[in-house]
Amino acid sequence: MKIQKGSYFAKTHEWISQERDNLYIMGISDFAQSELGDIVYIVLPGIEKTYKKGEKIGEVESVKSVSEIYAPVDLKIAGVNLNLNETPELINSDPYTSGYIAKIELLGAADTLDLMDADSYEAFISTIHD
Amino acid sequence: MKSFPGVSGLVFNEELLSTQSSRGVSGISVPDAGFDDKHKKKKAEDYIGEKFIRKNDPELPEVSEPAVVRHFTRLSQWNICVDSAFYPLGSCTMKYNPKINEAAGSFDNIKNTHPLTPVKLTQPLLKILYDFDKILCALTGLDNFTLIPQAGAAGEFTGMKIIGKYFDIKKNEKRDKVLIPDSSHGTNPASSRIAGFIPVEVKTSGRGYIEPEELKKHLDGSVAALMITNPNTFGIFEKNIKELSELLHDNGSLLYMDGANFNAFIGNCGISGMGVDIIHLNLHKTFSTPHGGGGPGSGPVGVKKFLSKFLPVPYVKKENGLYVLKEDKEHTIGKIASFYGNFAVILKAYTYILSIGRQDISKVSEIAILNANYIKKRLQTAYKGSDPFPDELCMHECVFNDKELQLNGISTLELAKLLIDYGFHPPTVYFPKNIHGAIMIEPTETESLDTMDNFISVMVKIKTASKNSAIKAPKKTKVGRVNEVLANKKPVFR
Repeated sequence: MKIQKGSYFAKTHEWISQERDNLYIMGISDFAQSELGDIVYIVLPGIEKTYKKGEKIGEVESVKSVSEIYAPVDLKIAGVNLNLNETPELINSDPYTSGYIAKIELLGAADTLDLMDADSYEAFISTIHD
Repeated sequence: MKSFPGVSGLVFNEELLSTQSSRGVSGISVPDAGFDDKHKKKKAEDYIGEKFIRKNDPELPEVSEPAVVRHFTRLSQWNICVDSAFYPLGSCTMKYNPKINEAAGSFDNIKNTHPLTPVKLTQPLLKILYDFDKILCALTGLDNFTLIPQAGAAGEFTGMKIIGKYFDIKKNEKRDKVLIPDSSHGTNPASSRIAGFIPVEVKTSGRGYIEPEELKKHLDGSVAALMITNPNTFGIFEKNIKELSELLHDNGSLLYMDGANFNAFIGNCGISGMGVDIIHLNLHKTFSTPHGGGGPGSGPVGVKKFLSKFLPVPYVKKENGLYVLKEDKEHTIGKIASFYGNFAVILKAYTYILSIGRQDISKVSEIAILNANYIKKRLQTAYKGSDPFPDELCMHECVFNDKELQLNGISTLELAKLLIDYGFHPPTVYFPKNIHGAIMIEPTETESLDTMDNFISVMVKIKTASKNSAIKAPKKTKVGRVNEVLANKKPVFR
């Protein structure tokens, strides 16, 4: 299970990584994609839309089920990974880079983020399904 | 050595009927009527506008009767169904469909009746609808049923529309939220959303049911109803249902029960006494009418008296000794399907109930529960760590997670595929979503101890199957393992 250092993780298994200043990239974790199985379809969020933390921003559909993607923080969508429309399996093969979901702007201050770092996230997923 | 229903055998190939067509071949021989077109008094053109008249004959397959019979027999043999195999598909209640139901549904004078036939000529059929409503009331303790909804989800939608109208008209209140437990049926959030509500998830406790404290967190003036499946999709009885209903009613909200799992209750539990205001039942599950492949189904909705005036129309009423169809409900939500639903399905369910009788119908539930607990208990030995609720008795179905399977590297999907080669339909898999790699087994009351023992021994065997055999299963079916990713991304429809 790959857990990207330097990223921050939500309990709902989304990650964010700082690109520059207030601009971050987000996606779903390697753990999340492996639980979902082969991803066949994605509903991406709308560009320029704003979401509150915990709000549903999109959906991923795998051969097993449909799951929702939640905003890990208060955010505005700056751009989306349009490649996923054609090749959603990038989320399976490369969840932290070419399989990212969106570029986002934080709407709150970065130092108040209530997210886990890589080590805490690793500890968190080891407690799941025991 | 134990033998299982799944064996290798000859599986016939079959082409499309259109590719088997030969010009002039026919299944029947029609004698020459002895006159040609010029002797006919009128031609097609006299009835139909020129531009609508077909220039060429339709390309219908021209085949002999044996070719047609073999065609459909062979196609049916590629399939697995409740008439050929154990079908423990959890949450679907795939019980055996007694043939007496089909006999009743096939009476010529019933199946050929046009829905617009004057009521004076359809009295016996209207009596069946009238009586069936009373039977469902007696089995649930509720006051009125509509038999119109043509599927379970159609029943849910109808129920949600009734709740919407109740708050619109009766109370003049705007309530837009419907609370839905994470152990409910998958259609519940969709039905409530389509009916105009916002579904909000309520979490199940570690013991598999909703705790009043959890419900309290969500209750405020915006909550129209709790939509609960009882027993829920873990196969667990909602022990706090009475208390939940009191909390809801104190809040001015209603309690909707998804009765898809009513096979655990029939006649043994007063639904009304649990505080349920509105329910839908699935005749194609609990009352043994055929389903799978999309229907036809029937999802009657039952209500307490104060909601009767919102039910859809028409309904059957008895007036001066005559059964009539009426549309005079004060605040009806209107029509939700043409005529009065899937009559043949209602008739088959009516036949089923009458063929068992009031005293024995409750035994159906008792045996269904006994069977599910037998499987749960027996599988607990081999799948020790996989029962998420080891200390709870289950109702009509039991759920396992994939923990024990994963020790051997086998996934839930592979277990399902391996079961097929032994001649068993797989259980429901990966649902409910909050059980990891869920395996949901519902044997129903119609299975013998022998069948269940066979199934259990195969489940135990599969646990230690080699990964190599698991990824290749099924091998004995007409079509082997399909590429699910490709099927999802590039489906071939014809």
